[in-house]
Amino acid sequence: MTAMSDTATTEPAGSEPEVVVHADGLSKTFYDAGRGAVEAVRDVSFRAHRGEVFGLLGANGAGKTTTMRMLSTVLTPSAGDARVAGVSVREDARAVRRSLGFFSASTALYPRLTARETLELFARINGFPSERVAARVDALIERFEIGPFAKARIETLSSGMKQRVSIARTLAHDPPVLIFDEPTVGLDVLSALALQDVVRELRAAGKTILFSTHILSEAEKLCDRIAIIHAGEVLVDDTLDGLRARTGAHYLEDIFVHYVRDADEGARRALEERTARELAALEG
Amino acid sequence: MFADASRSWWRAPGFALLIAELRQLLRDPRTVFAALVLPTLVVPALFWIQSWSLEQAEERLEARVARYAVAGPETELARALLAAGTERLEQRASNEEVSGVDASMPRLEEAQDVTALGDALAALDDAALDVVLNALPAGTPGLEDDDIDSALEVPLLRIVYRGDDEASSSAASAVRIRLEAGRAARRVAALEAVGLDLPLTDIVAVGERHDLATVAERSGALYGRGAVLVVVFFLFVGGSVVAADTLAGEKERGTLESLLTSGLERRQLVLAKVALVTLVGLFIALVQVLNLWLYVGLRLVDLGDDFALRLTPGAALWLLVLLVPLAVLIAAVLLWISGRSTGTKDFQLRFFPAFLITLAFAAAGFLTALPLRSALVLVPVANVAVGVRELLAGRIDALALAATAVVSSVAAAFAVRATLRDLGDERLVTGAARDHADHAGGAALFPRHVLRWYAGFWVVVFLGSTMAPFASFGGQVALNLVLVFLGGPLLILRLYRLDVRQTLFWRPPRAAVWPAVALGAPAMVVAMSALTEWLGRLLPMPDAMIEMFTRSLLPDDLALWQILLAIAVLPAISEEIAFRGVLLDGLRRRHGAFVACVGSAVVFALVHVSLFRLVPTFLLGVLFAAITLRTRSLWPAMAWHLLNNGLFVMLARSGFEPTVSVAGAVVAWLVAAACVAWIWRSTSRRSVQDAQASPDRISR
Repeated sequence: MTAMSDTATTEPAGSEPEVVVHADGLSKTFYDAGRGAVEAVRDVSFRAHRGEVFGLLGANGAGKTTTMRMLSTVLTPSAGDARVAGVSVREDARAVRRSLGFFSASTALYPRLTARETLELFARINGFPSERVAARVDALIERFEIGPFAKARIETLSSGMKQRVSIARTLAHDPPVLIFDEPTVGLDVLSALALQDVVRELRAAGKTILFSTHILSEAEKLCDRIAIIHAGEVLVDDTLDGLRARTGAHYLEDIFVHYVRDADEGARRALEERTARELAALEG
Repeated sequence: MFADASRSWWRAPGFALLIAELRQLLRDPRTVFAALVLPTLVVPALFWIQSWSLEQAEERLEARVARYAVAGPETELARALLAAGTERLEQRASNEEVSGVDASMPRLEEAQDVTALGDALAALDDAALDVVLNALPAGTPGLEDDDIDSALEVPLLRIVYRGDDEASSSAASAVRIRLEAGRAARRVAALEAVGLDLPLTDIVAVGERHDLATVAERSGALYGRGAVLVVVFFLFVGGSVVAADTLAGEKERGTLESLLTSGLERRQLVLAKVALVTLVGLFIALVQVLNLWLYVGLRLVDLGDDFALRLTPGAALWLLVLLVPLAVLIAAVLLWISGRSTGTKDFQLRFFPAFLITLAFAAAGFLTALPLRSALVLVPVANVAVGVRELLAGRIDALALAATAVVSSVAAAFAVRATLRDLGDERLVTGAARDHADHAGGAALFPRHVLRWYAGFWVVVFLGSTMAPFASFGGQVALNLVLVFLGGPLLILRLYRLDVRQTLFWRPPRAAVWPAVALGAPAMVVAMSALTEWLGRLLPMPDAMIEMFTRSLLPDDLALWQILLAIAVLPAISEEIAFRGVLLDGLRRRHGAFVACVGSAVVFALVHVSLFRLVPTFLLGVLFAAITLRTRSLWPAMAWHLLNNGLFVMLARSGFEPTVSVAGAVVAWLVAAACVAWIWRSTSRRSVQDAQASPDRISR
């Protein structure tokens, strides 16, 4: 038992890895007075397996955060469903949230709690067995080297220290699924690298990790599978090697551009065809 | 309190959050100061300043010699009377060894240099003089402000002073008391002079007033008027500091997303926050009570002998029963505002109107003409204000107080529920101002707007009942039944492009329903009149009121068919379309069948403004709504309504006043219940399940 996993994990050898997160046709439409109905995410489906880092790669506004928020039940899908650790986000939102840890650049800590209190609070409100909370918090404090400032209030900590507490907070209840939504936005190189180390450790501990980013190198280094998301739609979903084989390109940058340009090209062509059809109909 | 029944409540996740919140609250010096320390200090400070300024004013009055001038033709008479009065008062003071002259009365000194009335009045205006005694001869025409309308046969001493100047006012009353004493002395002297010694038996000494109310009851009645206003003020001010910080502030800081993505149940999240704000509010309210007890009870601040507070344990318990739901209600309202706000700045803008409106309700304690046993008991906050006033005055009306507590608790529960629903709303995170219903409009938006429409209808009906053009019987019928409750729903149907058949449940029921309606309606008329009679004993209504109501309902100058049309036929059509059609369908879509039945019945009862019909109308409303949903048809409710009102009119017209025996009432209730049960059995279960399926219901 480690800070990364409180429960012993044994993978049955040779069997197909278990699907832990299954997005099935997720769609989300927002309504805006000026823009009308905006489809932020359209028919997104993918499967993430146990012990896998699943990357969601896309430009800003591609629909990454909306997808992650639907998975964490903060948003309700307009259509489709997703199962996290076997539970539907539509049926039992709380059970889904209890089995995942959500980390993003915008999730903040309570400034007037200490690091230890923060970890204890989040373990408790996530339903972690009370008698094991203290041991769990100790393990996290040790792993993230929080000890020296565990009793200081968060507001007095440096941003690097806060970052460590924040990650530990996400892991407080030892969830099987972790969502990192653009976690390295605003981090310096060393902090970003430290975070990547944490993700690798979690993978080794058998967790399922969803990792969204717009930084290609990060996805290239970290992710076992990558889904390229563009304008709310998943264009492709494969391992890095698979993507290379599909496109013949080596660098992820080239692969990304290949798909996105194709999609834009396709969209342009579809629009042209439709316009032509309508024109023809008008003339005919 | 919390959902996890398998664990102890203090281990519930929501409780962990509450502890963390309290911890943070106590660690923020500014919040502690603004929410806890300041309210603790302000009231004693106000008390102290008030008593200090009273003392100062008294001292100044005592030290001061008021200057007066005598002017006019009868100055000698005035001086003589004043001197006699002063002598008599001083004599009495020395005889009885008590202060005959009020201690607050200033000593008087005549300004000899001023004799002309014009000069004297000018000096009074300049505050060089405190009072002018204008002595007028007999035959002076009376003046309006002397309350004398004809010329007097005797001299008139007019005391001229300035009411905006405290020194002048007290000097004027000192002069008046002396003049009255002088007049009394003269009268006795005159009687003795003509040898008229009054036999002792003819002299009546009117004893000092003997007040049956204790000092505590008197001050309770006085201070109780504003007690809830003060409590509400502090609940709002203290609670708002915490409430602003806890949801609106968390949105700004980004901690709300951490909480919302955690495994905490939304319900526990909201309850923990409501508990936090309530605790702060109750703490402040408790501190105020302790303050009062400490500073007044221990005489640290002297409010004089006229003040005392006595609270029996029973009254204290009632006080708690009334104030706790009030604190929860205000906490929930504050949290709701906080949840709706995008940040603390936005919170401030929304807080102020809610604050003022609630204070206005809390000021109801000052309306001393309003008893608690009236429609007031249904108005949240105002009912507590009046209830606490009665409690402090030592009047405990258990039934009315219990009703007040129930109404407050229901209001608090509704406010908590609204907060809960808003927290479930994803707009909390996305910040988007619109959702699918806003976008789609029409039928999708209708369930959300339906209650607003009916609130508008209620206002129109209420205003219409007070306005002259609609005051007549015909005017009321035209406004209420035709314009509002028929025109209104039809307008809604058109505006929201609703499916008329579906919304109005416009289809025939099974034939088996009809006999039950035909038998049930008369039975229910008897049952209801028994109920009304019983309620009348519990909550007595003046006979005059009932008579007035009956007369307004049944004008003598109308033919029977006209009355039947206005009281039975039209209501059966328009009220059923309005309440069991449009309103019921709208509520059902958003809140499910149960809330729709009760909610539509509450609105139905409230638009029948008169209070003594509230309970029967509500029950009929529930019955009609349930029948409509069960049979999926509006027609049985229409028929029942028609029969009910028609039979009522016929009974009233025949002058027959049914006094129902207990046995008769029981039989009537049983028959009515059997008819309802028959309707239940004769309709399929499936139809109910269809009715309950509500696509817009929030399930989080």
